[in-house]
Amino acid sequence: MPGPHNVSLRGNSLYMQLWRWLADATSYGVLFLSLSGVYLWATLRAERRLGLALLVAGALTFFGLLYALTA
Amino acid sequence: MPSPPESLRTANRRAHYYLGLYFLFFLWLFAFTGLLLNHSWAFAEFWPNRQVSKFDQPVTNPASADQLARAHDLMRQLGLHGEVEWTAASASSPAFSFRLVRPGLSWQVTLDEAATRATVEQTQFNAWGVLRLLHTFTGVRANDVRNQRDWLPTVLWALAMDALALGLIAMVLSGVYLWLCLPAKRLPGALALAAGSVLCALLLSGLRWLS
Repeated sequence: MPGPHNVSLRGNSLYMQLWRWLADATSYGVLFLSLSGVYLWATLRAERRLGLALLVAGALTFFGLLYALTA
Repeated sequence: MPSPPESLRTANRRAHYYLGLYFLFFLWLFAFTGLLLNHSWAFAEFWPNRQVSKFDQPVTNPASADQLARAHDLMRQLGLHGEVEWTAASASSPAFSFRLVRPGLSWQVTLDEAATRATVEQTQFNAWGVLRLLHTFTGVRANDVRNQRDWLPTVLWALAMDALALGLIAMVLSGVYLWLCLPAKRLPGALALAAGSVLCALLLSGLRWLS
């Protein structure tokens, strides 16, 4: 089975351990890239208004879906 | 007036920013829950901390012969909402039985038609359980035609996941274009791309995805 799900049960091969490491690196990489991307965007005054509108739209979509799924 | 390549560069850069900003919270959710799934951190335990409760209440036996319609009828009577899941246990049960799932909650519903009563076993998970399930919640399973998405929030969540996947592909492509526009960064970028590609190819072949 591909993917790191339930890896504590399956992480006993070298490739699975490497995959687990790569999955971690990908997660931390995405967090770092998104934070640095937000910083880079925030330094561009001309892009702030539309960027902020899209950030708010994304947050509304995300939290709206979360509410519908869990409330 | 900017030249066409200049305007293309600007449009590409804007698309990269805007896609990233729109999908920011989705990205953070999947990056963070990816870490949770990849580790068994004690602070993020959810299964041992689940709360199970049980109740039963009188119901009217659903008239429909269709299984999903019967389940929806019972859900309406019991005031429950979620994704209906047909499990192996419910298929082998002599009574009409199904599982109802939503992130953080699941219910096993069993109908006693002779007594016109439904028994409901509710399992509630903590916030870590909600987060973990959000990562894998699709409403469908591979090679299982019986389970289809039947709850609107599941359908919308699955659509959002599709949009996120397409958005990520577009962001990667626009990022590659942005990188190609920087001649000074081409060599180190090419080395990083080659190293990542080789590592990924080795793991793919090692995990036998391609066999």
